[in-house]
Amino acid sequence: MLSLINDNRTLLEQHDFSFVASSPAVYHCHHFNLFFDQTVDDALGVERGIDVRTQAAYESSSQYLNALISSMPPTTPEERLEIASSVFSSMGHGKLDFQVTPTGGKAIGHNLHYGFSWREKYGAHIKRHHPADAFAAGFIAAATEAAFGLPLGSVECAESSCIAMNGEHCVFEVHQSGQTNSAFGVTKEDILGTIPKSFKGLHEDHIAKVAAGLRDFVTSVSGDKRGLVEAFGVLVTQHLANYYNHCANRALDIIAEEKPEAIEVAKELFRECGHQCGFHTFGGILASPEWEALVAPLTGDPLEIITGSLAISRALGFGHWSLEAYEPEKTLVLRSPATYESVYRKAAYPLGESGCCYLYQGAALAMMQLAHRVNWTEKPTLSNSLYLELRQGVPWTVEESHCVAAGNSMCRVVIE
Amino acid sequence: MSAPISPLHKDVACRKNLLWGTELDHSVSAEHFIEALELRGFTIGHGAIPGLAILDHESGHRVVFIARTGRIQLRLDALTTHEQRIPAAEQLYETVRLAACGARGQADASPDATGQPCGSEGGNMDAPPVGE
Repeated sequence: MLSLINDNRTLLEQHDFSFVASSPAVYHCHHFNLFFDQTVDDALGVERGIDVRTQAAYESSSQYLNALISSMPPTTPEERLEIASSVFSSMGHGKLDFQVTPTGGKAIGHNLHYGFSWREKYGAHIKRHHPADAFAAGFIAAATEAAFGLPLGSVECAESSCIAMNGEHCVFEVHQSGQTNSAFGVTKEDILGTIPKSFKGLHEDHIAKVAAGLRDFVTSVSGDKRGLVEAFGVLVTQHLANYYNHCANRALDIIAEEKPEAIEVAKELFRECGHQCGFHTFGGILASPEWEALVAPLTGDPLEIITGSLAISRALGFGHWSLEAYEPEKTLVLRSPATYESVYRKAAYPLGESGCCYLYQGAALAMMQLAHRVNWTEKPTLSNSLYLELRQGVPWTVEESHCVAAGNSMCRVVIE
Repeated sequence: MSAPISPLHKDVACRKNLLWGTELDHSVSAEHFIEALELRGFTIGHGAIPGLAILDHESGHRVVFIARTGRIQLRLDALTTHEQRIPAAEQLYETVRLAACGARGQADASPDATGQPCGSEGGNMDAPPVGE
């Protein structure tokens, strides 16, 4: 099934955006995924958070699956469910066993990325009272409609049992729905119409070369027989950028309307998601054998960390993150012709007054943390406790001075 | 003669006891080491980075090896229970150590870093399979 995904993969090379069946595709690890979903729930409350995340998953998956299926010769409903299940596993989200008809049914999830990794990371210390797999729930609803050729919004899905709540498996109930849903999502075509011209930054040749090698590697990696992708020492998913963008923007919309006094706190939490991503994903990749083979053993030189992290961000589909300026310990300035966050925002919203690239902001800060506050020669364990230790007393602040979604010709962050 | 692999240690890791490390001694042929692992049930797995061998085992554990530097990462199956991780890492390490011994010629009986001579004390090439 990886071949179906890769056959439908296109690259906007100068902007470092990747698409599968026209949907923007990115890679994120379980640390970011768990923190991101938790942020949505913290902002909106659990019940509403699950609703927003499930709807985001439904819309992004519906667009994605329908485009993938339409790229193939005619198939039966059973074959389409098999395709959906295989695609889900190839993306590293676990295994789904569909037991559905056009009027509903159920699906069983095994080793689902969110539930499994939540239990792995937090299960020994925290008792969870709500299911973790909203992405799978939305995906199942979308797959059921796509399989049976149902109108959008015909069915809905909710997770009734979850391994993160000590369930034996994850169980999803699929019911008919009276709702009229859309399947909105920003596509490659939307982005091509709005994206500024690309450019080069400092150390461009090195960053581009490493990014290309890393991209080749990540696109060759697929879910194992359990539907999990273990690479770089983390659990990795290939994911739909529209899912993250739907969630973040809708959560912020709700906060802005209902609790405007809390909007800056919510933005800070999404920025923190980016910080988690930078620390765990960039750090994990830099320390991995894959990196050592592809580039060289890590020496811990701060510039090596900075340029390496930029290459990683490009390979993961975050955008053409480039180095504008860097003064060790003091300043880091990044620029990108766009990010996967800003192209969505620009396509879906009126021009804003400030930057919307929270992942970009947080990850840039994490790059400075990795470069200057982690002693790589001691081969540190990039644990949650180290993360929390470094999170105290961060000596820099971050500002997004320019953003495509605010009408600028680039997205630019300044750490100082 | 030096040990065929260095002592087991926790690798630069994000997760609890799932990533372990060791290094292949320069005296051991990288090519023969990979062949010896294949004889012990490992298969060359996913990914295509020149010089990087990712060897999968049906137990779900992996051995990641960089020929150029000798770095070996033992990557335990993510489904390994927390209680089983250290014993599983030790068993996987022993299997890798034996493969390294085998790669060096199998006749070497000098003690390695763990104090175990190659080819003895479970060091026979029929050591317990990984994951059991």
